[in-house]
Amino acid sequence: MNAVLQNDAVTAMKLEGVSKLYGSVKALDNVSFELRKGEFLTMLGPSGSGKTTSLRAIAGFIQPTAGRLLIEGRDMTGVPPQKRNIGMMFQDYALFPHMTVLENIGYPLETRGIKRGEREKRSMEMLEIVGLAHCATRYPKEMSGGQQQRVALARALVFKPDIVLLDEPMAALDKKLRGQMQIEIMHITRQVGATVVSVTHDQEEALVMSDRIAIFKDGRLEQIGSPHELYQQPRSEFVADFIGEANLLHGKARVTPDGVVVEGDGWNVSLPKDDPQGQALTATDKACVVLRPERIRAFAAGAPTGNAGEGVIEDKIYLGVEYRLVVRMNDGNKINVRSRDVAAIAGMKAGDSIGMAWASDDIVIIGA
Amino acid sequence: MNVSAQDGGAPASARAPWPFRVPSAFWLIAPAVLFLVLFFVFPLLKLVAISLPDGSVEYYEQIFTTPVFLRVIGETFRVSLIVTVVTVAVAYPYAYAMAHGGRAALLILTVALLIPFWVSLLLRSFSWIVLLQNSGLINDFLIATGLIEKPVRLIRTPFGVMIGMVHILLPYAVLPLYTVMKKIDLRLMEASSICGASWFKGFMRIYFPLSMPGVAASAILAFTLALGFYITPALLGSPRDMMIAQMIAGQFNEQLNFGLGAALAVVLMVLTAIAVGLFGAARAVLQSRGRSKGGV
Amino acid sequence: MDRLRRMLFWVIVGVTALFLLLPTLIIVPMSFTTTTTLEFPPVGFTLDWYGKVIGAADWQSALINSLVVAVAAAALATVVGTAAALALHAHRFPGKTVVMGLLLSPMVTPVIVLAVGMYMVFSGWGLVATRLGLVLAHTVLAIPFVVVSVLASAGMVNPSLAPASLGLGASRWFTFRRVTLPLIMPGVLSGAVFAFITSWDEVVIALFLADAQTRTVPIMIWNQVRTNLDPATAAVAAILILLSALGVLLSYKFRDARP
Repeated sequence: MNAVLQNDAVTAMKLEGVSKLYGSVKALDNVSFELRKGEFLTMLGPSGSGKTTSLRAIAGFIQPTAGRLLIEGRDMTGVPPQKRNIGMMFQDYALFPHMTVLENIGYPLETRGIKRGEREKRSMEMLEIVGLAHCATRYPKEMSGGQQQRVALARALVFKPDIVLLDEPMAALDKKLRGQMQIEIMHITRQVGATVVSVTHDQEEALVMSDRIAIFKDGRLEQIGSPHELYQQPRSEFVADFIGEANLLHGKARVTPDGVVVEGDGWNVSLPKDDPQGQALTATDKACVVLRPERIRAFAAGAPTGNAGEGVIEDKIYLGVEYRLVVRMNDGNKINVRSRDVAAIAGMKAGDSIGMAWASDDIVIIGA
Repeated sequence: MNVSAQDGGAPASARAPWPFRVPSAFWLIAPAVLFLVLFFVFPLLKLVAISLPDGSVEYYEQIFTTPVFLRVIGETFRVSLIVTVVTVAVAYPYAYAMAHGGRAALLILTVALLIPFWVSLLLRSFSWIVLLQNSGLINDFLIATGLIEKPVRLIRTPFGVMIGMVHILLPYAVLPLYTVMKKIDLRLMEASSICGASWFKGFMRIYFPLSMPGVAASAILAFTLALGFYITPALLGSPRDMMIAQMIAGQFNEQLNFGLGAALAVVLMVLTAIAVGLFGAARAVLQSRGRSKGGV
Repeated sequence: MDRLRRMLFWVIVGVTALFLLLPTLIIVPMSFTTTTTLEFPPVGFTLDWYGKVIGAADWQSALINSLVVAVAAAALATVVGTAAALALHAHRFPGKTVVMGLLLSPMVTPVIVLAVGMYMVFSGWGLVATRLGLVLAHTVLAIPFVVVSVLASAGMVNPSLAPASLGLGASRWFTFRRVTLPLIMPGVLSGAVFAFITSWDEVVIALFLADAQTRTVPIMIWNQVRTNLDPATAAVAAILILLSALGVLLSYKFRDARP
């Protein structure tokens, strides 16, 4: 009993086996996860992955074909959007063009029967928080994109909803403004203690803003975890490739007296005996090794034999902050190496054969 | 740059950044303007002249003091107003369905709207005669369903006239509404609902206000057209409830009182001009209040 | 609640659509009835009424009058209106708004006012009871339609085409004839059809300007409708409806055609 109560105190929302079918198309396939109070969760994935469908299901614009959605412990099946106490910021903001900024923000309070005086007071408070107090009597079309975004956010937060939904919040902004607003929105939602679910296809945005990220693919939830977890311990090739940059090396596993080796043509990865990843593999298993470009060291000569590889430089690109090498391995695959070791790289050029090395700690193995 | 002899007689006209070179504007526009001045403006001016014999306003005095004339003008106003309200009210859901009901609905509803639009007014009024007469379809239907026992008099009544007018005005009323509604983003209604509003509240606070320019345009168009109706009231109404147009025709055809007829025509022209002016003003006001595509 | 509202909405819309279509459509079946009064549903099936109408001398002469006037008015309005539309589109000049207003005002003027005004003026000029008078009057009504149609079409033409043509060495007239005109042709043709239909269906002005010799089809119908209502009138109406439908199809085909 206690456990259940404690759960409710922490869990803002729960999806249990939610599926959505359009004819024979599975827009959502058995999606389950929990959302904790006060956290900022981003649903990330390519288009068609189900993230937007999930968002609209949470909002109540779509009814799931199967499964349940619970908000604050209450089953939302059959509950229309207006009764869900959820705030939402739309992709193109959906501000009411015939109302002033103050009236727009006050609208959710108006629908809840709050009188004008109180409404204006609370709306002004919200405007202060988003830094637009001087725009109260303006109309949406008189404001810039970034300002409209903040008004939309204020409207979503003013009535202290259980959950706030953000639908591709940065999509309508130009690149320069994005970085700035990512941080600002994160601050604002934290300041008011909101529980946020955001949807985006931009992995950098997800990494910047979220406490946890849920990665979607083809209607299924691939993996959910903190940015750190997803980057360091991806559980599938898709996740490894989607978050940050990854080199995916496919090879065969072999058990040795000292541990497990995964190898391919011209490269190998050695895991010590006590490494849990190694223990999970048996001999002749096919395995995929994830190597982050910044974790590879390049050598002109004198590369070690274990946890190492060789290849030929195809491109050497200077990016100011680092070098990027595109290296062709013996089996024809190309991997990326990013290095800030200017001394080591400077002398290399395209066409050179080089050696590469990495630490077993930096290895992630994904079972075939 | 080619300097052409054709440019010689033209007023200084700056070339708009269009597409193509064309003989200068003056010669292109002159025929149409001349034609209309001769065969359109002049007849209208002639009417004004005839209505003021030697500058005397006796015909206008007659109109505004004789009960018969005042009644007819009043009746025209009353009928036009009622018809406008009914037509716009019926047009609103129809236009909404066209704007937001999906592609199939749009196609079907457009066809249903345009077919009568393109059948002449005369023929449509004719078919209403057939429908409304005592042995007509409507009475047959009412008797068959047991709602009445004897045929009800529908033809040669104001009611019959109004039904006919609504039928003819409906396409004119739907189109401006549709044009405006098409531009209203339904996301705004979604936003309204997530803000906690019921459908009804959202409609009253968001959708309807945004559709107002269309309602205004539709109403004024319908009213303007209704004022001048001749065929429909002539065929479907009784002489007792005549409208201005019929009275004008009567003065010219039967009474041969051209002066009075002309004065009545001028009154109708002025009323129409006022209605059209209101339309322009209303549209300008509503548009400047920033009613555009929702959100951005 | 939501579902109920949705159902009610579509019922209302459906009834409205029926309201729009029914009166238009019942005429055609009624023209086939064997009875001498208009019945719906029609009793039996016969094409006699069509025969009666097509064979009657007065209907035939009315048909010829209508045709001649409509074709002439359409031609005149199209030429004059297209030229005006081109000028409005391509050029800036003082008083443009006023001119535009003038060109469109026949559309918002009550027909009865036009009819009596023209009657007074045309009597003085000896144009009453002539086909010419009717042609001129109908052209006035038709010009706004042509202007609107051509303007719309011209607005869709790529602005770079003519300068391109001139840049390649073509003369102005050549450019107009071979580049511009073909491109706005849909609007011109569509406007021409509108003009034709406007004249073809017009009854109020015709009532004032025509006599027994120059009677048009709508005048015949008007007289019939007010005196004896019989299936022959329905037959005529059905023929006209068919022609209207054809006209509409044609004009939309032209409008949507890509030259």
